[in-house]
Amino acid sequence: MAVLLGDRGTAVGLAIVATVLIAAVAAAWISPYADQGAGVPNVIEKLRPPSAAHPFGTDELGRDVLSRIMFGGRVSLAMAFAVVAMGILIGVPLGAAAGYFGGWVDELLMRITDVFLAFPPLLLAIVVATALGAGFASATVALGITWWPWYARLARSQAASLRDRPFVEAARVIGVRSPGILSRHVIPNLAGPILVQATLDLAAVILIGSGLSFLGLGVQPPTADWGTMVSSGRVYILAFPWYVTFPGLTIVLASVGFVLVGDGLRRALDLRPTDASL
Amino acid sequence: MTAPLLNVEDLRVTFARRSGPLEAVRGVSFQVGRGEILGLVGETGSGKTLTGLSLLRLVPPPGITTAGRMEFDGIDLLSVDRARLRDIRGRRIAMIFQDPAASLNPVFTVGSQLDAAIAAHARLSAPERRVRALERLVEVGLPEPALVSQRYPHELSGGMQQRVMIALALSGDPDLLVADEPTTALDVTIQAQILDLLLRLRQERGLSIVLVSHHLGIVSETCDRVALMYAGRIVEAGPTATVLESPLHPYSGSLLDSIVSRGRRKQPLAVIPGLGPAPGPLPPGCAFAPRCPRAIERCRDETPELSTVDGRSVACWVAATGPDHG
Amino acid sequence: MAEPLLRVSDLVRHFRTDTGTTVRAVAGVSLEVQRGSTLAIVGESGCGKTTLARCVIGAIRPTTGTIAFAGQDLTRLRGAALRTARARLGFVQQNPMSALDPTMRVRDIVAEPLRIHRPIRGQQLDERVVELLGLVSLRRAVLEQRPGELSGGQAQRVAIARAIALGPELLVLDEPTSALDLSVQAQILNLLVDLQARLSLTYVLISHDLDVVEHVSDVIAVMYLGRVVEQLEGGKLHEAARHPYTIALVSATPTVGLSGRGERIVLRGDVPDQGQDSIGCAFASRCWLRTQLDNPSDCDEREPALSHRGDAQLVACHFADRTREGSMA
Repeated sequence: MAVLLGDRGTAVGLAIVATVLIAAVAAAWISPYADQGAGVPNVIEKLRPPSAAHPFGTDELGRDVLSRIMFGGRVSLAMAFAVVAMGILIGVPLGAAAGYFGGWVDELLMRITDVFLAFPPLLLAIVVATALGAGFASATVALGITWWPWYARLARSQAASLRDRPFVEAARVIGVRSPGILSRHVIPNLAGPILVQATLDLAAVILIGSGLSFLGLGVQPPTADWGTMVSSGRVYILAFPWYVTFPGLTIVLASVGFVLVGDGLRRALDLRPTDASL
Repeated sequence: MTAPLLNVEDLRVTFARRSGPLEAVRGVSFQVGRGEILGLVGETGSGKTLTGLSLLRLVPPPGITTAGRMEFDGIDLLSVDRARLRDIRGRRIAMIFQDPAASLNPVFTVGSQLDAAIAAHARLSAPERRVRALERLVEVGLPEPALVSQRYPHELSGGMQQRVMIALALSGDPDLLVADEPTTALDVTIQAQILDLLLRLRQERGLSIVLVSHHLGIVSETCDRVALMYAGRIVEAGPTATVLESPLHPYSGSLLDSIVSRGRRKQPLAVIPGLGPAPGPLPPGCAFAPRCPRAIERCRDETPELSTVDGRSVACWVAATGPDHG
Repeated sequence: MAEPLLRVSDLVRHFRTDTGTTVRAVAGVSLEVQRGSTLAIVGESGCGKTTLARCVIGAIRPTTGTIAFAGQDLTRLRGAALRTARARLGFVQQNPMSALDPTMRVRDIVAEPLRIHRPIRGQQLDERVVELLGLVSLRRAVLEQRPGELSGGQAQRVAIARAIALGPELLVLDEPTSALDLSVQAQILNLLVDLQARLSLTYVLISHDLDVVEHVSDVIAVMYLGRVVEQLEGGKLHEAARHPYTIALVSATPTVGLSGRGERIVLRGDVPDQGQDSIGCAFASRCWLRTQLDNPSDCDEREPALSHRGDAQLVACHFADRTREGSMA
């Protein structure tokens, strides 16, 4: 952790991520207009520009945009974490098994993975989400299905290189059986790259998830997430630009924050003190 | 007495860290004559590799190299500008490393790498360079140089790769070669070939060599003089036979006593008590004092300087104040 | 003579390379190890010693041949019987830093074999782990550390503790001191010699370091290109070696303070590729004796068999009686 904080870029990233997470989680308590954030309209105040009372202005139903962003964060971030979690829980065990066992297990699993990888992610997500009907759950499942193959690939290459390492051979010689080797030796040792990838993916899911919501396939009103806000705000962009701008900026900022943290993690994990030769 | 080819005084390599500066090389001084082979010996953490690297100003950042003096054939290595330094590297001072496979570019053939090295140091036409390249390959004892020239590094054995690396190092006709553990990754019979090659090059070219190694046997058989390092300083230096057969410094003595060939079969080997110096700032006084069987009060207060005793230099208060061949 | 604890008979192990050729890493090796003794297997890269060790310890299966341990043929056992037999063998690998799982704590590393093979848990398990650490002179403080926090010597001690955890009778040690500093090598060797006496262990030691081998072995087997070319008593390498390769190895080993030593023998060329189906002696291409004797045809036509020279020595060379002529010290 100390290493992470020492790096300025990562520190900025952590600050952004922390802010976004706290704002989302504590939205009900700290947002200026909690009920509006949750969707209660206040039509009198509609489409007001940013002011002291409403730092980010109000939307077409008079709701405070800042509050809506905070509540929307819950949805966008929840989707991001859920999708990445699905990707890891499905992809890592499959990929690790493929990489460790090799042979026909590897062939089989990799062909399945290839099928999923052949589809452009957004396209596949759209198809699945349409098939399942719009909504948070189906959008999440759709994205999860497109995401797990990347983790499988990553886990597979890591597992294949770990398979021949001396400490893994030592475990086999001791008599640890394959499931034990996978769970106790292989998977913990691939945690690093997976973690880095996961952090970067959080950023990507925020973006793509927003894209799905923008297309109307994500959550439905009155629940907001950042993507639907951008979508709704589109028509007002010329006269009332704050409606689109602030959610849009939030999407970008959150993504950047996660990317900075992910990069910092990658650098921290690469810096291993192996200067024994000196 | 001719002037030494290389004169180093008070060399220091420091790493800036958040927890404070770390001095990995703490005031090292030595000289290398023309056609002389000097061994820099030590265990992990002794600073020997960094010392070798600093001769070519190759210490990676955040390491900083400073010295009282670092003169090579009259040139002040500390103050030369980048262009001059690039010229010196390869053409006057060359370096070879431990793992030849890692030091050779895998995507170029031996021939093209050699050609590039020769071109960097001499203005010659392509056919002239080719002749030179083949000469180098023959000089390092590679059979069928024309064939080897067309191979990629991974197609060669470890021993051949190391010879190629030596050929590359010689392509600028240097006067000094810094060899950092050149045979550690090689089998013992191949190692013998490479050490033999180095000795032959010294004989035929008058090449001076600084050989960095942790292996006392190699140093014993190859080097004219040896400098033994501990915790970033030289503790004993002098003619190889003198130092290795009748060491004065307690560390030299203990280290030599502990090597396996000195032990009696199946009997416990002599062991140096305690652990080696931890990386990080060291307490005042001699770094070896905590483990030294002959340490006195002064050893813990003042860091000993090198003084000449009995035909070699020793950095030890006990050895300096009275020859005690324990 | 008592029944040897380990008897390897005609062990062969082939590997198929990516290009489809077959490499004969071990080309027919037979060895015996008496209980309580140390057999050292020496050779350079490609000689097959590590492959042989991995076959004995069960990390890989031999292509053909048998490995008899305390009378049982390990190559014929399966399942539970194999696991039980394997628990009587321990393995110490070359580089302790890569032989220990970097994500595990010392306590779990040493406990792992116990968890698999013994029904002890909880406090009993902890006590046994501490006891094992004590045997290798490590203090309790290292229990919670990870390999990255240990020095090379400490890590190797942990590896040894793990290898003796189940009270094995035989330890296979693959270059146990090669990756360590000089001063630490002495400590680990002392530990190994001490443990052998205390725990009545039998050692199969793989090494390329002749000094180490001379110091601890009772029997030395020299391998070249998958075969044993010489076998002799430990401690006698300098005086008794007869195979030209062994003599070259001894000659090539740099030693401190070698005054009055004869000319060093420098072998020509590199260790040839394995897998060449060669007729004649595998060492012929680099053999100094063959050159000295004007390239006799025997060397190229017939593969020399291991034959006795005195009770305790075997040599595979047509001209083993001629190697001691001349100035070889």
